[in-house]
Amino acid sequence: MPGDRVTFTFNGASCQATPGESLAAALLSSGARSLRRSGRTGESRGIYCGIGLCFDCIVTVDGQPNVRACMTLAADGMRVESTAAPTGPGA
Amino acid sequence: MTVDRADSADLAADVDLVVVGGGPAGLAAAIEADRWGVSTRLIEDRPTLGGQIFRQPSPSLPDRRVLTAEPDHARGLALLSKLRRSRVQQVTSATVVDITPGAPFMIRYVHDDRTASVRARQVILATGAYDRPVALPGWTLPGVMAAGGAQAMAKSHGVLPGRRVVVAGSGPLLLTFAVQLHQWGAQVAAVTELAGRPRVRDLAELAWRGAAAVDYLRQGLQLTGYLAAHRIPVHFRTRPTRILGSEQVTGVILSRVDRAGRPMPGSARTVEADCVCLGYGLVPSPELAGLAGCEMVPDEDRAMNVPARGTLLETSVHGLFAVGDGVTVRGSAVALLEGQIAGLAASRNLGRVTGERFERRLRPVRARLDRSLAFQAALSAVYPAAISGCDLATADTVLCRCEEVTRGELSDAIAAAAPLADASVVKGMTRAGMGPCQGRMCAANVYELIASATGTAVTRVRAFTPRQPARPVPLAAVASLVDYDGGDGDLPEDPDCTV
Repeated sequence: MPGDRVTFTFNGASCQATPGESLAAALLSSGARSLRRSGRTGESRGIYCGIGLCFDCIVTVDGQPNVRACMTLAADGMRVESTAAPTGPGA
Repeated sequence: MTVDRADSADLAADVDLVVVGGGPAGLAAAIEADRWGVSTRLIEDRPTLGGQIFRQPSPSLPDRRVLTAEPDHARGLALLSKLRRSRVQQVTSATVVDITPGAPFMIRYVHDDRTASVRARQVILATGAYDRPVALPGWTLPGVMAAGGAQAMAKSHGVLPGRRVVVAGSGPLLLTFAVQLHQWGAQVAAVTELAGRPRVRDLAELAWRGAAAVDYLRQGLQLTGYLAAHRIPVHFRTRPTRILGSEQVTGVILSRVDRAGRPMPGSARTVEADCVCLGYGLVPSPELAGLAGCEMVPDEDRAMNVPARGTLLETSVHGLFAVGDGVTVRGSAVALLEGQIAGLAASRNLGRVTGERFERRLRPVRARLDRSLAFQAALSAVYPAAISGCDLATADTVLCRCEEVTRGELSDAIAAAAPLADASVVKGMTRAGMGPCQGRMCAANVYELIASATGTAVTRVRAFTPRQPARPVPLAAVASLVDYDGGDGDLPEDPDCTV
């Protein structure tokens, strides 16, 4: 039935989510655990707090950087990408 | 009434009461105030109401069996349905960034990348708590998650944090979470509890605390029975001391610990896992109270400063209340009652309920709160006081996850600045606390390092200065915080603020 799945891409790969699911949850269930590289040392980072506080799960959504995957609902056609290094001013 | 530019999308903004936070405490406060005809706006950060405890499962979830078995869930549903029938204005996905005390209060929040503001005569803060960050080697690897966040994600979306999970932490919620994970299809490699095996004496003490306590003990027995039946090992007085992996978690080293939580030599062993959930208790989020200028005092454990409160849960700022886990973590039962008391007290301040009617309403709620608090006190005897959040961190372990500042760098900066080291100085030297989480993940650990290096109590360390915005907000939204007509709006002065 149409409308019971949403499809988005993460770094070009197609991912599925159920309506009402956060990007973080959808990415986790698609097996995408490493979401970005940290700015200073380039370590792999993923979802940590899961409730919108730690900002580790930030991604770029349709060109907007630093969006928390855990606080954003997955939507059909979203283009999600790893946020390139720096996350804050002066970083 | 003057309307500043930020208000343009929100002309009918004035309300009697704003409640910040839509978890148990906030829901109870809003519903109580609504009962007395108080016009109320409830503002919640998340896209849905219910907070972390009452998080509602997604309608698309295949199997709700585990969730509906929880008493909290039924209570949450009842509250949400009461709220739906109320006149409370509900704003979700809205982040409160500033509260300016006054008559009325000015509350600014970001919603849909825009700033809105509302003037309210009373404010109740119910900002909740989050998992204590415990920095140990490897804790920044993908696959390490805060237990509360992992549980919330599993609850609302049925998404497992990993295939083979180690659940590590302290407290009664650990066992529930381990059982849930297993029922949802994860392999639970081990559960490690910081505390020793509960003593019969403490459990017996609990059993005297009435029906809730008996339910609690029965539930505990069911959980341990379940884990034993499925051969899931529960290791008492054990901690993960290092998480292994380079791109993501591949294993974890567990060690037996002494009463102080220090690893015992020779007791380390490696467990294979792709996920570690850390649940070492919750810490309150009192930032907005600090920002609003409330008098702050050390909490019971002397671990952090929280708003001072009177018997009706009012802070030192007239008309401003603070309730629930956002002040002191005592769980949803206490949060509900505190929320109700503050909602009632705010209604009285607004003249909607007075005299004997007020007293009659207050008395039974207060009595239930006293019983809940006694139960919580007995429960806390079973589990030890909070551990340090950085005692296992080595010199190269990151403490500030945002700016990637290690324990070694922090210690060096503190040594160089001593005896003048305070959080702001150390922040300036190292950038710790400057990132988008605004210190939530590192502040307690930075204060602890400063306290131990300078020989002061943690609560006496001069903290990071609270500044608006209390949460990172988009640049466009910050621009709309400014009142170009010369009103009371300010650009945030802190160059650190993430915009």
